[in-house]
Amino acid sequence: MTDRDRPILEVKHIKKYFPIRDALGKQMETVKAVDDVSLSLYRGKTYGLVGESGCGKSTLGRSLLRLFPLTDGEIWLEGKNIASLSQKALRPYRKKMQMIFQDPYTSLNPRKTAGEILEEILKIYGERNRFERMEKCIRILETVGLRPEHYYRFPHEFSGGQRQRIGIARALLVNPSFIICDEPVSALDVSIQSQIINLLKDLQRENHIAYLFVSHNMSVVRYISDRVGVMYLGHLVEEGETDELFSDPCHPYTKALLSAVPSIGGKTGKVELKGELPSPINPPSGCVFHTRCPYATAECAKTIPEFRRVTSSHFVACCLYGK
Amino acid sequence: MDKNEIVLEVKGLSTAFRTEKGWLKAVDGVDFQVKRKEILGIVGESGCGKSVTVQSIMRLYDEKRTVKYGGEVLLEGQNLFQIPFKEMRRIRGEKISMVFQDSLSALNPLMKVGPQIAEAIYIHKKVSEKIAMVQAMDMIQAVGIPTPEKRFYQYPHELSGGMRQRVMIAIALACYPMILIADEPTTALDVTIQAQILELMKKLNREMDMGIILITHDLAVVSQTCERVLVMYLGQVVEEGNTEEVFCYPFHPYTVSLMESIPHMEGERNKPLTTIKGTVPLLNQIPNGCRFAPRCPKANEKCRKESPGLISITKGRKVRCWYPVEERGERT
Repeated sequence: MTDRDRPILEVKHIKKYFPIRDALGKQMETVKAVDDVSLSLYRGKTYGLVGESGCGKSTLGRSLLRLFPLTDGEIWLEGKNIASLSQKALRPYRKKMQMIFQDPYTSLNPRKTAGEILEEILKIYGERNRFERMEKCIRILETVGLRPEHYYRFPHEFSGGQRQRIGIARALLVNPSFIICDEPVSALDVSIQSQIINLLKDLQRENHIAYLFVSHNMSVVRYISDRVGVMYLGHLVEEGETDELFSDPCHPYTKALLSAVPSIGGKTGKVELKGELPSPINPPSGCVFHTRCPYATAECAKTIPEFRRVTSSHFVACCLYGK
Repeated sequence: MDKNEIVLEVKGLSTAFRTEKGWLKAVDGVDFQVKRKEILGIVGESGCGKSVTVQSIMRLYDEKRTVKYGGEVLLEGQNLFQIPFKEMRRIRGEKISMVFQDSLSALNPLMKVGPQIAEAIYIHKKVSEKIAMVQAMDMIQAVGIPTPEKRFYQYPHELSGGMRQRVMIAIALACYPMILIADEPTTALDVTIQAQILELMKKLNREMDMGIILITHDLAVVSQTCERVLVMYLGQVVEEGNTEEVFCYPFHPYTVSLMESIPHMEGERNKPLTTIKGTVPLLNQIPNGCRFAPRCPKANEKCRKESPGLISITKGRKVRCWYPVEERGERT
């Protein structure tokens, strides 16, 4: 295996449970937000993560950055398991991983200028020379399609698309090896959305960054991703190369999800999915999807499905696959 | 009853707001009609005036000091701008009703959802609360909420987003209005729930005698739900027509760019997406000539100087452009 083929980030059996406590702090129940998920990010590639809201896709993204302690699992970054490192020991690795947030209106400090927002990061990573910091920031502003004079402006002086560009500039500043993009275009208008998607793709081509692209917009994910994972109630139910997954979905949930996406001129798909996402506090037994699955059998309620191989790069977690 | 009877007619509607920078026209000369039993879509990016248009129809703004309306809104021949403001309360909810985007902030958080639906009924229909409650229960069943007996006595925060949106629709439909205005009803919902809500709206449109105005920024939603569509840009209608025709053969460069800038579920993935340069201008910086000219790929001197009118091209198709797109090839 050459260095290029090795994953930048390898996540193994990651779990994140949130306790629900009563007023006295006694633990009542647990929310299984992410339950036994494994995935890998490769250099210069995009991994798309889709699913309905509440399926745990954002929690998974944040877990990878160690924004909160994990319940269980391993995260391998450059040959080191960062899942168990202390926050202090994690510091040098933080530089490798960055995040772009969904809402460009709340993710920038309104009392700082764009320049100050960006410089703050360089200060943290020990860039002492003021002029060098400024030069770097101006260069990065130009990379993301803004102008040097924007350095002195406050977030409220920018449009939504421009703000998202600052968010991207902030993530790029420390040359990360991967970026978690948490719904980066959902809050933007369609004409701005396409500008940001093109920018993300260009930046990836030039800097070989890996993206974990979290989104509920299927057509955006299809466009930007090389590989796609479908999540349902904290579980990864299907994973495969983008074209393969979209042309030949194997899990009933993926099929239903794809059929619900409206398209211009397309025929209205039958509404295949009845009801809504069950609560992750008491997830259904066996296969988590069996309560909404049109093909569910008695077996589905009992057995937890294993990942089965469809092709060499396409996996599905469904008891009924192949039967 | 004639299916094609025009129920709502909007003529030269303009809405201006008083701001620090003077009176700004958020909607400027919008005309359209809604037929009985038709679903009309209004699409456009944020700031194009689509929400202001429908909120003006309902006269939801404080008109004394801050808002100036122009034009006419005719509901069954009656001009809504000429009736007293107090009278409007009877029309809202009874003849025209509205579904909002954010159901959590639109519903009363301190009231159980069943009584909220009943409230709309006994205020307008002058029936006793008891009868209103019975009718409300029918309504909550009609919009397809599972276990309605239980949900009826729950508070909005206890319901999921999709169910709250169904409750909003139930309130809007409680008095069997002639026109239902849905302002981004599915934007905050997941695709699977969105499909359910759109299906419900289509079903209600078929079963009840009711025209629907659906406002959205999602072209695909319009394409699958509406018969006719208006495309708005900066307070004006730039293109109008039968949904299928508009999306197959768009005439206005703005419509073309909008369609090309969204990634599709089929076709090419590797070529870069088309973008529309720049952003929507602010209302106090409306460009001279054609409003789309500064962002238009084909604009010339004429476009920058003279503003085009909304002209009819073929039957039912109108476009506001000096040089409508002429290619007739099937678009992907």
